[in-house]
Amino acid sequence: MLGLPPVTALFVFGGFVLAVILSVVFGLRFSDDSEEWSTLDDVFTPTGRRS
Amino acid sequence: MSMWTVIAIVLYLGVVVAIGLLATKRVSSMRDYLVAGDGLGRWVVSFGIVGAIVSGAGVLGNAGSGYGTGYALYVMTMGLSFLGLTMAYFLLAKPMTVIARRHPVYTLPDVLALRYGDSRAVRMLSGLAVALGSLIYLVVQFAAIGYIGTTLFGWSLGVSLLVGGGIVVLYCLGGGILAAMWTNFFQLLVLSVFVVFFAVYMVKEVGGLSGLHEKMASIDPELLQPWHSSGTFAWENVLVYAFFVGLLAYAGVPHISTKFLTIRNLGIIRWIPLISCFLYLFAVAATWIGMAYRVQAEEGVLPAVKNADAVLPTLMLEMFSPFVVGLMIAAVLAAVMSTTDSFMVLSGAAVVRDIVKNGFGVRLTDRQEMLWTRTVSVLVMVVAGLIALNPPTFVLSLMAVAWGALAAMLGPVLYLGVRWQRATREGAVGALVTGIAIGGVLATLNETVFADDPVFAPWNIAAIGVVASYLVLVVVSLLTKPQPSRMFEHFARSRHPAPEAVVDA
Repeated sequence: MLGLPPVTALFVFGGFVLAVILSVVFGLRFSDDSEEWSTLDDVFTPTGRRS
Repeated sequence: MSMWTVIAIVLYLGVVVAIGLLATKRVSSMRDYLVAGDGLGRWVVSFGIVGAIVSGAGVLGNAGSGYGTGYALYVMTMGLSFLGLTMAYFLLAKPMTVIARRHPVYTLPDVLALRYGDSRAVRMLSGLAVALGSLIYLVVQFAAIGYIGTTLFGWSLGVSLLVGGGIVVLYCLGGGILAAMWTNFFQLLVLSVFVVFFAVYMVKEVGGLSGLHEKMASIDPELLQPWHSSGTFAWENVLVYAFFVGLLAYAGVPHISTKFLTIRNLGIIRWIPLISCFLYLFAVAATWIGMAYRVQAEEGVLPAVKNADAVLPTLMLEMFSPFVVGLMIAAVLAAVMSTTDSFMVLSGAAVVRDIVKNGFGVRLTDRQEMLWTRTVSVLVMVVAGLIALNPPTFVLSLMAVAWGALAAMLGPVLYLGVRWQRATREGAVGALVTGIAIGGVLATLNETVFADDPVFAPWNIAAIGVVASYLVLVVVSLLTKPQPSRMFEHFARSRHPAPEAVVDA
């Protein structure tokens, strides 16, 4: 891209473009209704009690 | 120096000082001083955060690195930083905004103490990390101030440091974070206009980006590569730093993370990441100025420079009228000062609030705390200035190490702390000790005592600190009992039962 080797272009332009896309998605999906936020514990919910 | 140049600089600095003094009138408590009272809007927060990121060392160093090393340093320090910055917003902005509105937290150690069971050890260690990291960072900023003063003004190093540091103290001592954020808005605006104009002009002169890259390749093909075949910018150094510091712990640095505490409300957050992406791009475009300068220097159009960091100053003096030169010098000064002010406030708060007041339990009224915070901030500035009298040479290198050191010390405990309820205070203490030992003490020794024969490659040492700190936090937390945290106590219990109710270990 623009005379840059692909890997360099990936870091130089790709990082910025991906950040912009993610920021737009974040802006569109962001909810300010709740004061809670997701945590890793939501992903790795304990399956049971230890005794 | 021309009278017009001096007039432009004085005008600029006059505006900055006026903003600072205006902010002072709005500060009547520690809450005002450290988190801007009821908070700030999206534009001031975005400019404030990016303005603090883009330091003077960064602007001079980016142009220097473009000139000297091509894209390697960019890939290393900024290749994943756009993602690192947006990820920091995604992960930290909402939690930090909520807790700042629900609890009296004004500093990063306040946040960590709230998260980790009001642990005094966590507070003291993180306060120490902020104080130590701020000092390192201030030294780098003073080095940049000294460089500008000696190169452009022809002053002695001592006078340069005295004038530059004095101006920051003047505009920021009274107004604290409010002055820092407001002036950052103005300063980043000036800096962005300057850098974008300059970058577009210079790149057009060499035939656009395609022409620039073609000519750089003809000078040295390695200038276009993301890393070099050997040396400092070998692929492993570049990737390790970009991934572990630029992406995984980017906002561990307190001059970014504490600014999340100034966000007025949750609605403000929505478009801050997007605004910040573009502001950051504008500010780092100095890299392309350096590259275009290198091409023109090779073609004999512009004089070659011995020191890569001299690219911007040389270019200004070569190409523009005295008044414009004055504005440009002011813009570079702007970059220096907009970072220096943040660390000045942080260092005083870390020592007085986090270590002395809340760590050792010394009783201070709000007014006394503010007085001592200001006093210690000035003392730290003096110490940093004295250290900077023997300045480092390649400015950006040391800055990146300082950033990495802070990221290693504070990134893991903050990121995992707000996003993993299972993290425990023992894990946090272990991670902080590890981060300080590797990212702080060892990194500093590496750059000073062992400078001639470094223990590790300086770029990697921070990345090692980040990895080790994350690992220690996870392993020790899993080996210790789960603990409740006040940070999550407002969560619906049905969705997030308190840890001790889940596990009875």
